[in-house]
Amino acid sequence: MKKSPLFAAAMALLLLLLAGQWLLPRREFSEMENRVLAQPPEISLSSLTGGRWGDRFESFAADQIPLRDAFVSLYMTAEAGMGRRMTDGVLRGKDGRMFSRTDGYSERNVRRNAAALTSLSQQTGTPAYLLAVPSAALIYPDAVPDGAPLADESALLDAAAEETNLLPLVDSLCGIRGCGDLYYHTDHHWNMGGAQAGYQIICQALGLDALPVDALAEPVPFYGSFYARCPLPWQQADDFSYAIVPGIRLIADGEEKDGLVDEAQLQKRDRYAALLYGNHGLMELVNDSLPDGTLFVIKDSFANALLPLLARHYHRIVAIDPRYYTGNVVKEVKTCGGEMILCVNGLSSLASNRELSLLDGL
Amino acid sequence: MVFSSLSFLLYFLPPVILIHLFLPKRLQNPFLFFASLFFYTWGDARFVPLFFGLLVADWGCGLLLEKAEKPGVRRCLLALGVLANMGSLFLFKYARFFFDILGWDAPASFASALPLGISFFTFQATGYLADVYRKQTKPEKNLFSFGTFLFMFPQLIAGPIVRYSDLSKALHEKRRPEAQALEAGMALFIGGLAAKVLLANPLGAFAGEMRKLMEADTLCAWLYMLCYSLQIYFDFMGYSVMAVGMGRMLGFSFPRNFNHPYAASSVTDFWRRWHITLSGWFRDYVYIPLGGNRRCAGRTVLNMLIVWSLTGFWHGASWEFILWGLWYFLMLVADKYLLEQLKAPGIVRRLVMYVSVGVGWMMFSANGAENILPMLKSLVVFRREGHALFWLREMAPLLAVSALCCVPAAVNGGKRLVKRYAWLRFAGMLALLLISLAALTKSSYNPFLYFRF
Repeated sequence: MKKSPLFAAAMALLLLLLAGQWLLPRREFSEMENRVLAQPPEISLSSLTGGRWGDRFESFAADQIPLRDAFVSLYMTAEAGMGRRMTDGVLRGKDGRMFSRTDGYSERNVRRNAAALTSLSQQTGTPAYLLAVPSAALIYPDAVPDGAPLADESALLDAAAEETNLLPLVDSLCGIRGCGDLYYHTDHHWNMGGAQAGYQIICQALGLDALPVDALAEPVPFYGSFYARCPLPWQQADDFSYAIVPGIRLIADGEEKDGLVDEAQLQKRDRYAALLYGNHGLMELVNDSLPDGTLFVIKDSFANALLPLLARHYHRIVAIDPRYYTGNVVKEVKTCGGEMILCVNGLSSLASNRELSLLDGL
Repeated sequence: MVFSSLSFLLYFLPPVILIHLFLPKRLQNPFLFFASLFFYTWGDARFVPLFFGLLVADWGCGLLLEKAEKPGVRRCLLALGVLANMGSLFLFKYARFFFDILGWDAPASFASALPLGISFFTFQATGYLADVYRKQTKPEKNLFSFGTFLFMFPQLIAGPIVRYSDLSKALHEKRRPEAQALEAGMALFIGGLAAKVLLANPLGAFAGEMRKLMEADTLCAWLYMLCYSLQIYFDFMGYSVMAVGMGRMLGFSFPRNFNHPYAASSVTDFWRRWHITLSGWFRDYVYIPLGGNRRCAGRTVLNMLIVWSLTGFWHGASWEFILWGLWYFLMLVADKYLLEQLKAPGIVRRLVMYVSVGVGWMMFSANGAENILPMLKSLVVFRREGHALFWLREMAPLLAVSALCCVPAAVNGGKRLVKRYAWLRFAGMLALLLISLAALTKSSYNPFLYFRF
């Protein structure tokens, strides 16, 4: 083997990886990539003749390769070294900001979802408002790589405004973007700065007096969803924080939670998922210090940073997430007796699918 | 199983190469045969009966051809063997196409997947029978040795299409590759893997993006043509080089399948450098038996028409492949009877080659003959869309590296450099292997274009 060092080294490397795959403990979940990792597929006659077993084994071999995180980082480094500014749909912009590719957004979906909100308003006789949160690319256009494949989000918001009562969030965000970050650099969500701006706009629209945020949690490092898809070793972490709002109870899918933030999830990489314990089909925020007032909310994860602030104004907030909610939304609004319907959604979900328009009852 | 997969790289390649290295002679061929069977049926055992059926039919036909003396009987035996191979190919690959032409509903069984590599091993078996029939080679008597020749995993699913005479010596002797062969084989394998994983795969991803934008933007149409042309080359060349490298590590010497085709000086030269073993097969078993170019010009042109129609059809059972073959027929006739006769300057012939190849790949990748004209139109009708320059900037470094790898002077210069500095070759190759493993770990885009052939 002395005369064939490359052969010996390559064989040793491959055999070590093979041995490591079986001798090292298996990982269930990749914190860095925020996804479940494949396990060895079961063998059956039908799986072997169906042609899919090989694919499943390949997923297992790739997911459970020793030093997977290091391999992923190596690949990302090699891609960046080749001058790539977009990997796996994530654009790397200036100042460490990451953005999502949005050229697949559909105006048709936006119109359908916005029209569904109007329809819900008409069917229940309850006023409805839409707070559509644009992507960071619309608020920080100078940080986006030139000519990047992005949708015209302003046009999409104009389309939404033609179908329903759209709250003027973009102007507000653009007005204060110089005062501090409004979005995470490594995640597609807005941060507390963005959520507070959203809260102000909602208060103006609903005629509420906006309350100051008394306390923010101590910031902790955060690598978000963009980083999970594009984990560059030199990417700086975001500071993750949230509003501490005492006196609010959270009941998610019928189960009362201990506080508004999942402390266990805060120890993991996807800290944003700690807010309101992540996403649920149906949740309630109850403020026992107020005697009445109910708000019905249709939401996605963008609302999770904002709803605790809003909960200070209502005895009850009933919130559904159309991705997981299976009931009849018209009945739900009528049953809860909400004074208003508020839809807080990322423009990404309004433009990428039509879940709002597919809700039962609409 | 494909070579550019972690299943193959971790679970199959190291044990098979190392065990084969230390096995006694009598066990080497049976071991390789069963390893190849395992490789072929990995995760998809539907085609095992076909595998064994063809093995026994071709092996038996070869033996009977040697024993038979009457010309009529020998012809019948050859016809039977060819029928078994071409019949299988027809049944699995072309029957549905003809059912569609006739407007009949194809039986559901024809809709099942194409057996991997059927176009390659049926051609290899047919060539073997023709060689035995012509008494150019002795038939293989040992079933395992024959099975090893026909189905050996390095060349089973994507060639090169090997002649029995190229392997018969190695099949019958104790194969103990020397250190130099192991070293060179591993270097070739890693080089092929890197070409496939680090060049062809990202080029393919870009080609996919450009395909979506090409009708809206002329620059995207040209970038698509460029990306696809480079993708298909590095995809197939990478696979062939991996095969040659593994052959070296197993003690075999497979023929070269590519020789810098994009540096060709004419269309004719291109086809001397692209998929060399397929061109050689058609030359030896179709073109020359038809009379080649030894008769009048009209007959030569007819022979070329037959060969290029078949070449196109071999690549796929749809009209775009037939048109692609006919396109090359036209360009080759023009090159042979016009440009060559008129002694056209080298630059003109080279330019014609690039146009022929570029347009050819557009036709080849059209995914339906009806898409060919719109795709070609998108090259010449000026349109502008917003994102083309972004994509150009994204892919420019990859295109530059890929183009450099197509230039013989650059490749040979690199080879000379690593020959001079052994440590550079060692470090460079290990780095390429590590980055390729990293790409396979992270990337989900890993198609292989020639699988469908």
